[in-house]
Amino acid sequence: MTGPSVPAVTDVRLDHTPVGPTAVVRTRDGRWIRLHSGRDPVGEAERLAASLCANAPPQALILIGVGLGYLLDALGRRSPEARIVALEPLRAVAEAFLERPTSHAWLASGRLTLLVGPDYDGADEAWRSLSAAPDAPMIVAPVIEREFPGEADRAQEVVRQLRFSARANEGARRRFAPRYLLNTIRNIATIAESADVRALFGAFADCPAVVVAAGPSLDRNIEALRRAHGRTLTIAVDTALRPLLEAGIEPQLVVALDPSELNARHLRYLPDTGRTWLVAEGSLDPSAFERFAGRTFVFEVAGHEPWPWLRSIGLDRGRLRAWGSVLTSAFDLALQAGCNPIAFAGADLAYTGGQPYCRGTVYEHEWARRVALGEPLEAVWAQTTAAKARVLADDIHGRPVPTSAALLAFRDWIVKESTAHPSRRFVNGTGGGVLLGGRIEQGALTELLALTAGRPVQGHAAVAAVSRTWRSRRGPERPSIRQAVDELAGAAADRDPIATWLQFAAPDLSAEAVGRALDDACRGLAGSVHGATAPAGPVLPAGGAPERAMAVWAAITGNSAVGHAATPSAGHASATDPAVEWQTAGCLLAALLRSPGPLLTVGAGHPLVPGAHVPASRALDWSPDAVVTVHAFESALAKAASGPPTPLRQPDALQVRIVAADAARTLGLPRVSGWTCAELAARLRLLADWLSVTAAVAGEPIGFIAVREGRDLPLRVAATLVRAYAGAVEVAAVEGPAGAPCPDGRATALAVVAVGDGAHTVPCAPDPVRTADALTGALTQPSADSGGRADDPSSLPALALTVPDGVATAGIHIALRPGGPTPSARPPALPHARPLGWALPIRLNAPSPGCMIGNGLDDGHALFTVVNGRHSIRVDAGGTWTVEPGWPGPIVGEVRWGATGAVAWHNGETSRVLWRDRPDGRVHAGTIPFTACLAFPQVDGSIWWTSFEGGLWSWMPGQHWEQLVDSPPVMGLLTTREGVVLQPSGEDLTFTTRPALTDAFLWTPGAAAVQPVPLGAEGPCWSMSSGPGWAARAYPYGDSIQLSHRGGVRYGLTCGSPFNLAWAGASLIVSTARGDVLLFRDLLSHLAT
Amino acid sequence: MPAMPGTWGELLAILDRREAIQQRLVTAVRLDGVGEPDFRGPALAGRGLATIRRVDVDTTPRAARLADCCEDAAQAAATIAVGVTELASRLRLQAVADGRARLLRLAVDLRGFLTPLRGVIEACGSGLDWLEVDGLDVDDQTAQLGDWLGSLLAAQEDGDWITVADILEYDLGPALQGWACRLRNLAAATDPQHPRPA
Repeated sequence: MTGPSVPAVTDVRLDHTPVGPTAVVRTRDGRWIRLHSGRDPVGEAERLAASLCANAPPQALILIGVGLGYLLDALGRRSPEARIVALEPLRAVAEAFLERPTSHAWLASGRLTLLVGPDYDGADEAWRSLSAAPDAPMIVAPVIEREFPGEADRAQEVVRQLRFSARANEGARRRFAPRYLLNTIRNIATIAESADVRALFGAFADCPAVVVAAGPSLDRNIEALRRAHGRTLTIAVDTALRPLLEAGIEPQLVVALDPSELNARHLRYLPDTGRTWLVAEGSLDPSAFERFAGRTFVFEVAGHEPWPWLRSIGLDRGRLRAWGSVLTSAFDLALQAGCNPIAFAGADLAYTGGQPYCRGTVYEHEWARRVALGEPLEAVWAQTTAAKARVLADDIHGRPVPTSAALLAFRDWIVKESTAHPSRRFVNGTGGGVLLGGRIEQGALTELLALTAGRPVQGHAAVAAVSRTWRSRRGPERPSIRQAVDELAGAAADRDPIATWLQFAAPDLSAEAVGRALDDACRGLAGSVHGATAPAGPVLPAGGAPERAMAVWAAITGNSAVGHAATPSAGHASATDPAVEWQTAGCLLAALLRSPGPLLTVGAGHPLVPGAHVPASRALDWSPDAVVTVHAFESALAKAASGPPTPLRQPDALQVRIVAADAARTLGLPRVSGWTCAELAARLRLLADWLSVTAAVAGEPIGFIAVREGRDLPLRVAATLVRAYAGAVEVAAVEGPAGAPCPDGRATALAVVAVGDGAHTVPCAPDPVRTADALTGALTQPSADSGGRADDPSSLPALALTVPDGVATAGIHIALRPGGPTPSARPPALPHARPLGWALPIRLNAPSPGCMIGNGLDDGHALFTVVNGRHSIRVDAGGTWTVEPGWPGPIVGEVRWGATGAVAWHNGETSRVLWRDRPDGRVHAGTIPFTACLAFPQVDGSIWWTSFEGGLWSWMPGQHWEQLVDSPPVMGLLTTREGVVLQPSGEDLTFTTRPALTDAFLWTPGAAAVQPVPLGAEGPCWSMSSGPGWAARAYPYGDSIQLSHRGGVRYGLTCGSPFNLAWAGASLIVSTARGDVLLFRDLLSHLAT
Repeated sequence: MPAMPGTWGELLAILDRREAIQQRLVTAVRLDGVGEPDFRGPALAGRGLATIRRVDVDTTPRAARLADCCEDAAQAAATIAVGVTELASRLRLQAVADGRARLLRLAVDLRGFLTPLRGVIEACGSGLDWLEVDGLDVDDQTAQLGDWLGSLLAAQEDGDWITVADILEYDLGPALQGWACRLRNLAAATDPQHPRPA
């Protein structure tokens, strides 16, 4: 029963009828109207009830307009079991009702919840009466609805809130009931050892208190809180604890309410909490108590199961109110403790500045996952708040601020409570947000310091004293509780209270789960918790997590870090030495690589965040045993990467070799089995991140664009390769059986060696495309004995990279043997040679969607056409490009014609050719009688064309098309002494499944047919360009470019799917099958003749 | 020898007296072949007979006619009583907009019911003592009806629809039901052969 508070009234007159009194009320405009019949109010109510409530008796009813209770009685008679929530908007009428004997019967029955307007005190708790039937029918007394529409509306608004709360709580109950119940059972020992929250009630009378929430403004409140600390009782909500601790503020009390495991993260991996006391709802996730052993008060909020039984066995704890938010419970604690004044900090109850929370909470890690994809933090916040903030409200400055209906409801509850405590003073020192109204003053927290001047310090010792006093006064409860729990454990499911619990948490609770929880409780009670000190556990730094993720992401991708928040919370921004941090990262990596146990949570396999370039720390679901180390690793990497390039020396704890499987055997490295694909991929990801950051710290530019000339250190390549391997292994983890061990076999192996601590050799299948991309720029010299069969690991192409004695990478030895049989049909055609060096390319920022068809323009320039664009670009030897004169329609390729003219073409429904004799000349158009591949200008002014349908064609502007010879589909052509060798195009131009092409087609001009000639292992050549003394040929299916000097020297240049190429001076410009345009700047300087 | 009637009213009085002797009633009149439904009305009473060349008169046995009239009136009273009760229920639900219109119609119905009833009864020469209820004769009851209507209007003006409903349900409705009952009794007493409603 929710008791009303009814003041005296004067505008009700009672008339008497044979069956009882009837009420007449005076309206605002002075009229007197009846609320009930003046002749037979009972009969009237009966008929009204019959007409308003014609269906089967409901479980619950809502009645607006109680009057003298006649309708209430009639409804009660019709629905004798129904709970009735009655709202009487007219306080005077409610008073008259309460004077009637019938009201006493109702109140005694417990079926009635009476709320009296206009304040409807108790409405915040009245939802409980509707919890089983939030959609209970609502009846509005007609006369109230017509004569007092404003009051009726207000009452209906209260009902809407009741329904909302009832639904939300019922939904929460259904959702959380099993967890609530089981956690509470598991926590029985903890609860038994914890003090009763009631011990705190009144213990801090007139003590100034600050209730600290985790709103965005807390970032700006921290300093004032630091100054006030020790002079106030600081009561933090669980979310705010971590940022406070990271700022060096130890609140005396932290309040936690939410039983979810997710919420327990606020209370795990914390910095030192040696003095903070936890005030916890009994159903908290058991892990949340771990850091607060011996420093806990327990409360309950709803008396749900299993509290009735716990009370029956002598385990009773007090109640704090919870109106949807832990902030309300923290506030209630301050009220119950007797604090005065009560200040608020970080209590925005709004998304001030578009920020969902203050910095430094565990949500930083969620944000970091998004940031790890390269998304600016502000964008992450915007998306987070957009999903919640559907309301704009005036903040304390009168400016609109986004918030939510739920946050406003919390605000309203706090405001109402402030008015209910006229003897207290309430100061909102948040400085932003929507906590205003009622008796809440707005003021700076510094003003609180003035208020607290001269007051006795209320510190942690005071809280401890409260607990000690409580313990000294309580009776021995543990033995009887243990006996009761022992008796219940193993009891049948139909025995109470287990049967009641199962019903309470149906349908998602099993008797087995209850049994396990009781077993846990037995074990807990068998041990001694009392007096145990909280273990100093690992610390998971939260503040600045997005910035850390962004720094590592930037190091991996070569991008600039974006989205740094302006004011990360204190405690995580400190000047560090990149070299030292890099050393630390190496040590942590070594520890992770050595870890024989699982690094990932059980069942994890799918990356949490997709994308190869997401920092490992954010991509995967790390196990509780590993997560702290992984985040520390990320933190060290971020700090290392954020500093200027610096000389490095070999990490003390780590030496990494990446070797091929055969090399592992040669080296005698033991093979570690038992790792799943996911576990292997996790380690490879960590290693790749470390290599990327190592390159960044060492000053080696990352990425194609910013490559520094004259350096060929392969760290970036190594990192990319390892990342590629990790991706391949992850694919196996996802596609294979869950938890299956990594496949062994003929695939190229990767060995990760932690010197001095044994070795781990693990096999994995490389991704050929990614491998080729990673190796792009490797220069090799083909030798006759390096080729071999694809299925023989010992004969696979070897790429051994030994970093010389550069200080940047001393001690890191990388040997790679890419290639081998792959899941695709692609033949292994990587350069069969040891690399001589590296010519890392620059990826030109060419117009979207990139270029594929290109050729030489003159000695210093190449011409590449934007795919389906209207123009080509002219690229010089330095990579600078300019746009060529445009065409009136889309084109796919363009070649020079004559001294100043150009010919372009496009394949649509029909294939069209365009030409002009000078850049500003008139454009002519014609139809091509086939689907054109590539065009090859000839010295006589004609242009030869290859065709997707097959055949070689000749054409000259203004003349007819002539098929020179028929052939299978061809793309490129090479002119040799024997004739023209037409290069097959294959059928799949997506380059994902590469065709097994065996023959090219030799055509001798004048011959009527082509002759097949065998293709080399590298496959067809689709583009050839002659430069100063050198010729370059592109083999897209072989991921290679062959460079040959007229003097006979040959080199191989690894390049992923080279499509067309052209010399521009001493530089080679290559388009790839993905549309990238790569500049091998000054390539000739790498090549010895 | 009575004086020659000069007006239609005088002639009707003569006819009524003559027919009364035979226990009959003048029930329909046509003047110069034109039917005059309100032939007892004051508008026609003064019309000079000199202007009328032909008078046709229908007569009916008095008892049968009275019984018919009473039965019709009883039926009407019962119908109005039901409507009154329904209206009261609607007003208790504060269906006010519809209630106002129905109140207006009720007033019209009541007037259309009471006025001709009284006229017919008087014309039949029957006394009205049979309509006495709780010591109130017809006039008293009419006055009471007036009081009810006055209270009803006042409550309506105040928007006190519960009171309006009370008057309708507990005053007017029962009175109408009572009248309907008495009228049926009168019809039965007047003409035992008169068919009674099922």
